[in-house]
Amino acid sequence: MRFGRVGRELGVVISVAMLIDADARPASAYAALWPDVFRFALSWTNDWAAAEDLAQEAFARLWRHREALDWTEPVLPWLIVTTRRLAQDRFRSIRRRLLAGPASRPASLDAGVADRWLDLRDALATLNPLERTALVMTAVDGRTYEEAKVLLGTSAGALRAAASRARRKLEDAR
Amino acid sequence: MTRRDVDSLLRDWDEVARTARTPAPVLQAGRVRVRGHGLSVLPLLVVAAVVVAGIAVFARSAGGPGGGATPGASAAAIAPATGSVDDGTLKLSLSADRGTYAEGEAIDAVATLEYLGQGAELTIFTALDQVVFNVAEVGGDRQAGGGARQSCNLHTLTRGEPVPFPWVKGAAYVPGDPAFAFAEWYATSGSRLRLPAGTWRLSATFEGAEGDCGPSTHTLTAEIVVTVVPATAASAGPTPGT
Repeated sequence: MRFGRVGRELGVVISVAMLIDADARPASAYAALWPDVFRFALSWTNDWAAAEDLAQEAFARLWRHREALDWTEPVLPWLIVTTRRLAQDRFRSIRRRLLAGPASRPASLDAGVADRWLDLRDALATLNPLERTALVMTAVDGRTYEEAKVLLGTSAGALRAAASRARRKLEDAR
Repeated sequence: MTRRDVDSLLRDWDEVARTARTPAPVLQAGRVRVRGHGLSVLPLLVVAAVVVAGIAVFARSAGGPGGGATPGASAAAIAPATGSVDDGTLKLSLSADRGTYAEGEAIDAVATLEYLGQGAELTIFTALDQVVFNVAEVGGDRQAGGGARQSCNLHTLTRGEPVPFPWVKGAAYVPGDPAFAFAEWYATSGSRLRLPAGTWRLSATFEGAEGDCGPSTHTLTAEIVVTVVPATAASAGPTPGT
């Protein structure tokens, strides 16, 4: 896990939480946006436990940067970009685990759902992160390519191509 | 696979993804950093009020009967409380922004985990909640904490980059059972750490394994002691120091 250094800088450090309006905003964002961030992380990594972990990490970063963020802007794009960067940072580690052996059931899922997830995970394993995410964001979540491109920091054309490739790969499978 | 099969697959993905439960938030108490320059009048007044109140709390608790403050210089009341431990590879620290708090006041505690080894980074396997927090009353039997999730995950620690873990509550208890009354109160009294008057040992425990999921090869516990004084003492006006 790569977190930025948060060390206490010189100065007087006091707790006056009730004076900080900003403290309520990350909590609200957490309640409202955790499912979106998790779904993005899940489609990007195709790994349930890693997605839970990445989503938590993204919100931990949001908390630490709460005073520097422009809260007049939507915060979801910031969270998605952060999650994607965290996922890319750990790509090697995640890949090592994925290649290490048979997938285990995610501990946070009921057994039946976990089995369904493992089947889905195998079916989608042939897609790369962008293809999977482009397909999920547009075909499952119902976002337009214009909306998705803002969240993923790429062009609508690239997303359209990725989603199309993803469908073709899945249709060609088996 | 037909186009319809793909659509069915995606619908199934949606259904399964919707079963994900939003975990308990890791968001913690607020912290304001006030620098030594560029202060506006209001923050200065707030700082002054807090410092004066802190000194008053210490003076009363150290000098009065039943105050319960840890003996020491007044600076201890407002200085950060920090404890750390290392095994040569990993260092776990726990700190709170002060050593003394008023009852009901949020205690802003945070643990940090740092890789000390020779390599650039260390890959380690841990449960999702890598650091577990506990509170225990010094000289009493009230305690609560724990509650780590058991999934095993990989994490990469980079040398020289301490990873912060804000205090997260967790506790095992039987609802309504008096034997677990404190743990139940602790777990259900909001996400921020607040404690009754008394002296409390706060601890953070990290358990992780190198190589693969399995028995922990690193187990570290860092502790600090904080004093919580009755709210009436905290709200009293300044008294002459000792």
